[in-house]
Amino acid sequence: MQTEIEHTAENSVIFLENIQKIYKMGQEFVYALRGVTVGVQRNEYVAIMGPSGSGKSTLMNIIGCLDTPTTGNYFFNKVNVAGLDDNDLAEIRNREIGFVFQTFNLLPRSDALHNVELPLIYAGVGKDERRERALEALDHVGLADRASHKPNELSGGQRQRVAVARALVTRPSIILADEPTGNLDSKTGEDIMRLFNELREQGNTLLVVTHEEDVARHAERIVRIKDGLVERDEMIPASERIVPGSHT
Amino acid sequence: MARAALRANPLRSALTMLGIIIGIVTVTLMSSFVTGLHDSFHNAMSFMGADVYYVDKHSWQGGNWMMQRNRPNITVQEARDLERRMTTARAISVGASEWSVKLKYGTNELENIRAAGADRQYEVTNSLDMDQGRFFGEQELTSARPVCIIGYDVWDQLFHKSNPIGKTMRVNGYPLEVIGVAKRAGGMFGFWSVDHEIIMPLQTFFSAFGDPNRTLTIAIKAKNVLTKEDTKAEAIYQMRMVRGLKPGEDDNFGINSEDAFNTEFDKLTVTLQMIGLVITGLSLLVGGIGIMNIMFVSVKERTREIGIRKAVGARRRMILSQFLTEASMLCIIAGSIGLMLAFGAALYINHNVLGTDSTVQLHFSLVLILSGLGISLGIGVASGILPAWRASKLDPVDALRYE
Repeated sequence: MQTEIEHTAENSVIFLENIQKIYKMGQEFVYALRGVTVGVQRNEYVAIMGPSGSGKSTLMNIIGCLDTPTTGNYFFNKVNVAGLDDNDLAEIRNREIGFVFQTFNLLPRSDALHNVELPLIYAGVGKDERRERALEALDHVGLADRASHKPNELSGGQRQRVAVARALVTRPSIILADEPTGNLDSKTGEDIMRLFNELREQGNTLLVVTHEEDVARHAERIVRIKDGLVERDEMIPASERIVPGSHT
Repeated sequence: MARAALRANPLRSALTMLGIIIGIVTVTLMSSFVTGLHDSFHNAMSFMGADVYYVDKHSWQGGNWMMQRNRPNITVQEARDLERRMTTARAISVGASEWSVKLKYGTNELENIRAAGADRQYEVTNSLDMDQGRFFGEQELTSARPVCIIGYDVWDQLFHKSNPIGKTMRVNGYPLEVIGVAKRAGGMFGFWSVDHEIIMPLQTFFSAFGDPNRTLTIAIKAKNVLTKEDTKAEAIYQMRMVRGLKPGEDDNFGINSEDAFNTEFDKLTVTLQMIGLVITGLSLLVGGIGIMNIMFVSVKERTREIGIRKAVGARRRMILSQFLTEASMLCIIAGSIGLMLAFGAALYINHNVLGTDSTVQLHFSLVLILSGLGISLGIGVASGILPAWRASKLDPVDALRYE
């Protein structure tokens, strides 16, 4: 089943238009992305799926403004960011994107509160407001009582919740999760997916990159990537979606 | 942030700082010593007076010693002629000296004392102040009375501060009666100071040490310290007249002042300071290289952290300043420790090695402290800039993937 709406730069939070990414390895050119066109609307919950080597990591780096495409246009809130420099991209990552990584990527020597505050520091938010908003975000993911714990004092699931709180704290346009359950056992992974469902219901836009069908099935829409191209872009009917149980 | 990083690896931070600490200690001690030496020398020289010129056979400053040896000796007659001619002099005295005489009083002996023969004006030209007794009078001068004035150290060491007035001591075996003690002048090198001197009438001097044709020194004190250069010029002119030198002929006498010593010594101080800075600066350089090395290691170790920071929105400048701050803090802390150690060492040396009454003291000034901290900061920035630059240039994708 194809998407009903026609995605354009005008109606999408992010809109990628014929994105190519070409790496030069020695004498050879490697085509990681061969012309991807995809859009995500506000308050959508989208999964990007693909086997390893499909180009989905490259796509996620470009969507996350961590990398730039070789050719093509990338509109973020209608602004073409394809040609921006490092510092401008840093600002977009800071304000518009919340990252959740497979390996959590928390600062190991800082406590949960400081980890959540980090994006706000770079956004230039004052100390008191920073602290207040970080505590709020931690409370949102149910970790208000773990604010002063360091990552090695937290369980895997708790670490990922801290990471989600860090992603939420700047109230970004999009939350970008890369294999968010990859390092968690299935029960804890399920907890995180339930949290994502809640975030979606609260009006957030979510983009989850994964190679697991079970994870992707939580989303409303799955974009399948293969050999650097969009293979299929389908809406998931409510009846086929996995809805995590409401209790742990 | 930077502080947390330092605390995370205290032993490594401490070892890294050691280089800077040692560097700062050596640089500041060296510098305070040279400054102390410099001040002490200028103090010691000031007894001569800035406004006094000495007409001698030899020039103190440079010149060909062998050629100067053939110059005529300076005589009492020339001194008197010069005195008559000079219009810009407050006082002119003539004196002779023996650099090393032996004093004996009872069973006490004192060696390496300078003995001066002088006229009455000597008291004015050499700014002599009497501590006890009096200077010799005209009568004692003309009749070559065996009397003398002694310096403070002589009084202290030969008479053990007992009343010396009226006592007779032997100077190279020649008996002299003490009639006065000069006020303590202080000074770095004993034989340049009146403290280590005895002064007697010129005629008495000739009786005691013989050789009345020896060369003398004429001391000319300027009327006004502000126009002392005029006095110097006049002294040269008038001395040429006394000697009957023709125009174009070279001076066959030297005209000297404390400036000669001071200029020479200032040159020496600058040289010492430069050599000292180069040598001690090497240890700072080594320390700086250590900091740079540890910063490179730190950037490498924290590649992932840098990736995280970039992912959540740190701009290049922010990463750069984080690592620069860290390197600077390392150096400032090390510099402060170094300064404290150096200050402690300076106090110890001043008290226990040089002694509190030594005229050479290590000078620890605010300028020294501030420049020590400034140098530390400079090294921090200089050695941190390259690693910090490298950190700021890291690609966020690669950095996040780094294991």
